[in-house]
Amino acid sequence: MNQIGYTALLLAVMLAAYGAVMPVVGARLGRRDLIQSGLHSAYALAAVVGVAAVVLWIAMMTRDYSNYYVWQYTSNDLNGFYTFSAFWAGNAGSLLLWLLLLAGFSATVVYQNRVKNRELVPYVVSILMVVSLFFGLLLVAFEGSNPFEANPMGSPAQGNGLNPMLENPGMVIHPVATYLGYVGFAVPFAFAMAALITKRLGDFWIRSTRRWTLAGWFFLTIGNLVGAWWAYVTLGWGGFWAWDPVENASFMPWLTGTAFLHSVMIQEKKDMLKVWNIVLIIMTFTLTIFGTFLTRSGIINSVHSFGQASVGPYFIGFMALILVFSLNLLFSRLDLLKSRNELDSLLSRESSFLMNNLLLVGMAGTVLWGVLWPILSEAITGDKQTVGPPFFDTVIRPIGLVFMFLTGICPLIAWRRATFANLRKNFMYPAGFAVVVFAALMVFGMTHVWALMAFTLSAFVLASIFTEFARGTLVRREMTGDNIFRAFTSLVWRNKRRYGGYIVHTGVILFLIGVTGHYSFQEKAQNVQLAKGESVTVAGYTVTYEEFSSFNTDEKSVGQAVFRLEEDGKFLGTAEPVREFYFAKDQPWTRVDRHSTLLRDVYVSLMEYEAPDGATITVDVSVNPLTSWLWIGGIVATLGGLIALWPDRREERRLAARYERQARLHEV
Amino acid sequence: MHMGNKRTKFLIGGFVILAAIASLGWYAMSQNAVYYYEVAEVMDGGAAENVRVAGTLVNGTIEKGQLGEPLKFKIHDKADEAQVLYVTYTGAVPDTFKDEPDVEVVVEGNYSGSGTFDANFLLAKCPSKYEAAAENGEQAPSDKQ
Repeated sequence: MNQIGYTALLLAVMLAAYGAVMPVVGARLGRRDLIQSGLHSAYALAAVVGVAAVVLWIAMMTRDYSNYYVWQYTSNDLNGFYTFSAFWAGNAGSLLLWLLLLAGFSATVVYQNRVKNRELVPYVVSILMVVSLFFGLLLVAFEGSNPFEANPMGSPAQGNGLNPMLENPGMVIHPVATYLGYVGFAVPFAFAMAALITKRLGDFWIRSTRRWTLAGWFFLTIGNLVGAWWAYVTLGWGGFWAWDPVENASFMPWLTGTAFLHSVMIQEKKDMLKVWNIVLIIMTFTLTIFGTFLTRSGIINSVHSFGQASVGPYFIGFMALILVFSLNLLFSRLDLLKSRNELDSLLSRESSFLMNNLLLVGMAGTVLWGVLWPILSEAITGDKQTVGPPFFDTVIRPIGLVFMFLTGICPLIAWRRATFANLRKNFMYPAGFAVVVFAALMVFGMTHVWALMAFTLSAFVLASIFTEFARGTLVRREMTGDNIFRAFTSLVWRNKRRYGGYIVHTGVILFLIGVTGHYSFQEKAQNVQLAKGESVTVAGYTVTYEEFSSFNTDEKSVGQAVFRLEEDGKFLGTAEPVREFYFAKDQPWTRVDRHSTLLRDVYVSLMEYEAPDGATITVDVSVNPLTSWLWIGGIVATLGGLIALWPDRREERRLAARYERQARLHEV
Repeated sequence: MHMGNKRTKFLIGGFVILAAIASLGWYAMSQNAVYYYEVAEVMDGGAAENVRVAGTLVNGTIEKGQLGEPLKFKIHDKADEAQVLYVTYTGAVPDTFKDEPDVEVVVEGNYSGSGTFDANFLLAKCPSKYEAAAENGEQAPSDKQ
């Protein structure tokens, strides 16, 4: 079995090499047949990598412990669901997942462009094949990266087992979503490079990849959100984001990817920012490779990286290659990238898009700085320094507030040049609403400055988005005579791009409301010792330790405590957190329990217990306000992304026609 | 029409914004950077507040104490096993912190100046399991995820 899998990977490497070279050779020589052959290798690559993946899954499902990777991450009592996801539990499997998704997307790109983009496609595919070649080589050439390595211990009867941290639905989704996001951005990158190489620098490459960019963004957003959710419900410390290097690794490409998503809209509408867009996609793609590297390099200490793998230097080499190649290519084509239009005024939608970009890139840059500081500081000063959450919070918070303000302004401000008259007309109600909310919060007694600003700005943005929806719905109702509900849904459905985007913004603001509540007003009691019947009170919520039960299985001992939750004397429910200890791994594990409402989570984590009857236990209790809005906001944003992604031929033709007209007007 | 001035204005504006962000970052860095030492390095100097120290866990020194009491253990310098730091730690113990050979430990907190360290942050990392298994031919610890 291992042999089949490994042979498939070797074949994949050869096909990727062929696919990297042949389309370019064919294009240079003008030979359609060679190009076609090169393009078809993408299909073959997808098939072959698919075979390798299936072989690994079969080996896992059948618990073939003669395969070292299978032994490392599964065991006899692991259920089917998590055996499936154990595929990406370790370095080698996750690299295979990357390659599988990349090969699948590359084959899709070839299929989508059977007829169009004839000049670009050979180069697009060649670049995607080069990236596939990189991952393929990692898989076949290095111990620790090969998912089909023979087990040095022969074929034991029992496996090592999956890390209990991964036995959570979030960890089934998170790696796949994150990699789908990464690979989603590889396609626009390849198109951008192909456009530069062939000097076909009109909008076509952007329009062809718009959906890929959106898809990449969509999945990366899900990946980041599910990761945060997982951290909150499984790690037991009551938080969801620690500015850990590995969290930052997937956050940075999300920031620059969001910037890219917005600035390509400007290029499409106004034919501006061409060079900037290419720089953004280069940055985003490089950051996705960097992110993949960070999680397995061992170079940065983090709670959740894969162990030391010797592939680190090769990632760095690949990133250097990408940057040198792409930036060189960009510089050589600079004269062809002059925009037709200029920015007219600081007070315009174009300007606010540009501000949005600067802020996002600025955030990504400072996060990168914080991540790399241990290495940079040692190189520069000789002393190694690190930075933690306080650094990131100090920087991101103010930038985030400005960013929120911008999110409210941008949809309502006019293109080209906004006059004070239309500013007043558009922003009167949202600003007024924000002032009312501010006053209400002050009256309510809120004194936390950051929270006040964040909530006021949130009100501003939500009101501004509401104004847009309301205006559009009322106009539509006028036009069609439908009732409000019909008018609203048809408004959104006929303009999925625009209103899908507004829904995403709504989701982001709801998420930020959750962040503000959680960070500004969390209260907790840590390491509290309780005997049965004793209780602890946090922020008006009383948690009383009532019962305890414990039992052992073959692989673990489990202790569960039952707590009674009361709010100001009124019974709320029970919390039943669990603490497990896995024998084979000599490893403890915590499963928290929480009582969630829209207003707050009461979060109870069992830290320690006296075996076997739990006469005394240690518990952490925290009250996390507005935390549910994190997940609600995330779902809304994801839904908005899905709407924006949804294919709509009619809308696309309409928009394309509009841009054609505008382009012709500008040419005068 | 000559657009040069407008383009310059916007470029300058852009630089100003990026410079503002960079200054914010610089300020945040100066306030929040934490020195990161090896065990031998920190023991060389005097008492130090709010520093990070990396070392290797000395096996057999983990003392869990009674419920609610701080965790105590010793770490030695990665290169020089003779340099040993006594650590007292209060807080959540990561699941990777186990009494096994070659567990890398990172702690953050205050160094007393006389061989003891009061930590409020603890990170532990297992060695590459492949080497351990190959050497010992026995069950190896799992990778951290």
